[in-house]
Amino acid sequence: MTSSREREAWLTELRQRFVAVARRRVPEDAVEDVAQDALRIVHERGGDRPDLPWCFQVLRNTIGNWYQRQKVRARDLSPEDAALPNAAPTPLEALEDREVERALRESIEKIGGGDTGCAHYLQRLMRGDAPARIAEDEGLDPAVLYRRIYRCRGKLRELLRERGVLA
Amino acid sequence: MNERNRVQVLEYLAGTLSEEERADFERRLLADDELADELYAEGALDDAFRRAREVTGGAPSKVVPLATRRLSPWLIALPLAAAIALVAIPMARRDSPAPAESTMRGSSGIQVTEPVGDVTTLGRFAWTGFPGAVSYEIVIRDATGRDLWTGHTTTTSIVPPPDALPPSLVGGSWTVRAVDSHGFEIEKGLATFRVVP
Repeated sequence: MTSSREREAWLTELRQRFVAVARRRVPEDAVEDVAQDALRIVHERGGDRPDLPWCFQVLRNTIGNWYQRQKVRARDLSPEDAALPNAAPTPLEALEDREVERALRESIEKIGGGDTGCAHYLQRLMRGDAPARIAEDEGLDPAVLYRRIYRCRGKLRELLRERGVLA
Repeated sequence: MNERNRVQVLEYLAGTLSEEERADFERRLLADDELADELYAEGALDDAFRRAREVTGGAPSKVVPLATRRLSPWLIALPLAAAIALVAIPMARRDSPAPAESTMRGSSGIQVTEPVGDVTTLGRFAWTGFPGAVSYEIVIRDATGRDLWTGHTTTTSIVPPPDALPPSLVGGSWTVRAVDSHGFEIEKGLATFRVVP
């Protein structure tokens, strides 16, 4: 990215995607603020051309922070006032670390009841093993492993959704 | 979304796409809400795995590969240790900051004094007082903007507890909010920092 015009166009596109992603995870009246906060961090700290995975991590953290602030505010209000609309599932990034760990562990155990292969791959991913290494250990072509992993991650996301967690 | 796109999201996150494929994927991603959402969601799952490891203390992998379940554990311990090391390096790099500016100050009357810019250690967080403020709220964030610790004080400095910030924190930002007697924010200051050896 060389010119400020190109950068502006890039930020505009990114903002549109941020808004679309945020709309599925926070109430409508918070969408613009969340997207704007995340974009500000990307603009200020991302350098000339930040990696997109990093940009979306910024958005996840911004959404996580938004939920944290809501929790703090809710503690200061009466239960009636603090009640939030319960229409949508809670995003994974809004949960505390221990809740995340429990949700993952229990969901993977459930998957293991019917598909030990998937549970095995997910456990390794959870322990920080890189897919490339897993492929090597299993003697699989990486392309084959990525297809298997994608299906296993899909199962995991489905089970999390059944628990009311959007992943 | 078709399977190919979903698989490609994983390959993109793992950094296994060629430069050309990567550029093409990014072009499509910036024009496609569904693809952007998929990248966000899969990244959220990776974040969740990392956060779960923090809870369990980051136990090293003891998983035996499916194809080698009958082998002795020591035969796979070394490769797995190497795998963890290989994973840890890119993860640390992704979490590490790459601030475009070493310092970022707000246009406020609060001047943050330390830490600002390059520092060797993180200890005391300090700022100048603001008229009318009865307390201050400090929020420390990592380089991606994730809240790490929030503290409150009636003075103009604070030292986070020893376990408040991860030892791996090598940079980030912090804000101080001046709060009046009605609980309203009346001013704000902010700064970025980078811990250098």
